[in-house]
Amino acid sequence: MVKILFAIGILLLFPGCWTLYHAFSIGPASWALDQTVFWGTPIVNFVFWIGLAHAGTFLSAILLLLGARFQKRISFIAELSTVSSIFVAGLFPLIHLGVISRFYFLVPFFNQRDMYVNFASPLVWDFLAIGVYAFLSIAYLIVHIVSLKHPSLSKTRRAMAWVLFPLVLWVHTIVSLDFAVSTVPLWRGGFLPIYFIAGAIFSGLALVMLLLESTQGRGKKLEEMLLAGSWLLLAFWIWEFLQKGVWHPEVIFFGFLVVQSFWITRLREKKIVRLIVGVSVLVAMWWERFALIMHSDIKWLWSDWGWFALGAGLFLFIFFGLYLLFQKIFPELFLVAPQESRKNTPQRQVILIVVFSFMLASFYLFLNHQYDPGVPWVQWVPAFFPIAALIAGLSFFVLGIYPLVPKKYFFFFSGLVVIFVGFAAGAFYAGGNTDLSFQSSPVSAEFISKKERPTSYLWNSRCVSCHGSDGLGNRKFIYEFYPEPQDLTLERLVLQGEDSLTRVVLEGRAYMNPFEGRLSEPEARALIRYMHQLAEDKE
Amino acid sequence: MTPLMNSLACLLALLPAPFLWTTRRPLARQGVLLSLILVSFMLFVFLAGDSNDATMEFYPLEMWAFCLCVSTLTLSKRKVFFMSLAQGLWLWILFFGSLSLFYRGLEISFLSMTLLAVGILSFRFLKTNSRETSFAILIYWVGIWMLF
Repeated sequence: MVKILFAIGILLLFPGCWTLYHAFSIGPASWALDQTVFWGTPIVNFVFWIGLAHAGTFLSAILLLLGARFQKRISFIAELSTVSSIFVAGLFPLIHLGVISRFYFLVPFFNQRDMYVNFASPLVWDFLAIGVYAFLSIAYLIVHIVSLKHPSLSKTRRAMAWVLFPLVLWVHTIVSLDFAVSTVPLWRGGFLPIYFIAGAIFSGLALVMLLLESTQGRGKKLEEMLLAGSWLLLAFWIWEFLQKGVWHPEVIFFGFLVVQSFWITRLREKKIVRLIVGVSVLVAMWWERFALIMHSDIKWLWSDWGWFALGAGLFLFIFFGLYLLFQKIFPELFLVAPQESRKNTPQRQVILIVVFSFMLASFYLFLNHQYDPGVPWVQWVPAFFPIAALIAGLSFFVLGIYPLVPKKYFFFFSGLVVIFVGFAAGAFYAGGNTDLSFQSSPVSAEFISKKERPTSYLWNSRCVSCHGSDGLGNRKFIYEFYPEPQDLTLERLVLQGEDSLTRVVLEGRAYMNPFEGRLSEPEARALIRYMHQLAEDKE
Repeated sequence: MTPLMNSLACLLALLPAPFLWTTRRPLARQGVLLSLILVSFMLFVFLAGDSNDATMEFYPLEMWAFCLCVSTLTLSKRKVFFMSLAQGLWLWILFFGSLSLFYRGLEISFLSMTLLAVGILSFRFLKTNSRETSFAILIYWVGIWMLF
């Protein structure tokens, strides 16, 4: 079964990788977008996969701290599922960026061009929270594996579980804020942070149940938890209906009604029923994210279908690939549950690490605040905890591993990490080349002209994300990202003149990207005239 | 929400709290019970709440967290741990709910959050098994609910 699923993963990767290549070649034009759907299917898939990444840590770390015994049996599968899902999830925001080589603009780090990240933006919080979560989840899995041979490490596992406990909830709360702080009425809701956490854990439970069925057998407690979760989700769906008048019968059918079959013992005993319920929950939760983000009857392009193949293929490939690998290298992982002593890391050490982490995170944000004093301090909080968690988690990890590794290897490896971090910091500080003609795969002017699209289409595809469809600025984009584009008033356009503005479009200025290589000069001039027309209409 | 409705919400949240953990139920049934309590709070807020007040969006969740906090007073094992967790949930709902509304121009009230954080940090030093202390903690939470 494991090998078959691994093979299916490889097969799915073929169309998936082709979709990825297509998306990187022509950017966001490759998937379905319109004026109301400005995020599209990559973000649908991102929210879905990041949700799945939660149950792993939930089942392993949180249940460990709650003292639930049944987590012993499922902890390895759960942690492996987290690491695989988070890798898949992390890919989709990079696709969503369109220009993947600019991802470093999301890194909250100083740079030489003073194009500083916006700490009021949930996109930056996302990057931090997910990055830290991925890093610590891998470290937690390593500690799990090593603790089989070195039981003394079990207290490190416990200490790290305390860091991961709030972090796993933090990550999906931050993902919910992408929606909750936006200006889109359908996405508003102070209840979204808890609703998203509940949805993430619910879908993740279904995934872990399916993985357990396909590898080790049945997880009765998971079925119970899935039943409980379906009722909690139903409460949130009712509240959403009462608040916004929105409800999705297909989500309630697959996510609630189908799960209720577990009340009938005779049905629940059948493996096929359990598999159907697991898949049904995954379908419901994907559909829920889809209905949230794609709230119009937009026609799908083939890339939108390709993300299914990419997500599922990559997950199956990583999960079952690692599973087969670990089966060969660490067969004891599948026989022995990790040691779970009640012993904790000494209290003084914990207090020191926590204080040190919080102080360092505060100092880091204080430095950032000097660059961007306009952001109220409450908007720094979402970024604060992941940084503190990273420092604390890393400290526990290093202190746990240090006595077990020969000193020369420890220092050699630490040196390599320091060099890598220094290199990455330098690269982020320097930033990349901003000349877009330098890039290998811009959308060519021919791509657009071939379709004989009018200037309004050019405007919609090139300018509207910052300047808005009416030239007054896309408030949503500015609100969530930055910087503020110029107001395209008639007075300003007349004052600058067509030649000068054409140069700005082609060569860029200040925060505006150069469009040379993606627009021809006649197209740039046509856009300037279109801007005039918009400005005249406004006046 | 008017002060009267706020008091009613407080009473409604207190009502199921003593009975939540008295009987040992299977996990799924306990989940159903907790969800039905949440739905009843939602219906109450939908009917009695002020639809123009944006804080109503997370008010039923606050009621739920408040109910869970009070219910931990009936636990016999790991009381302080679950007390901290329940208060953490309440704090979480308040902070991130308010942060969402902050982007719509609403001010954040930090007093209740600070008091909850104080509760999380300090209750471990109390003798929570005594009736008097449990009563004092209950009053503390009701005070947070009613006054802030």
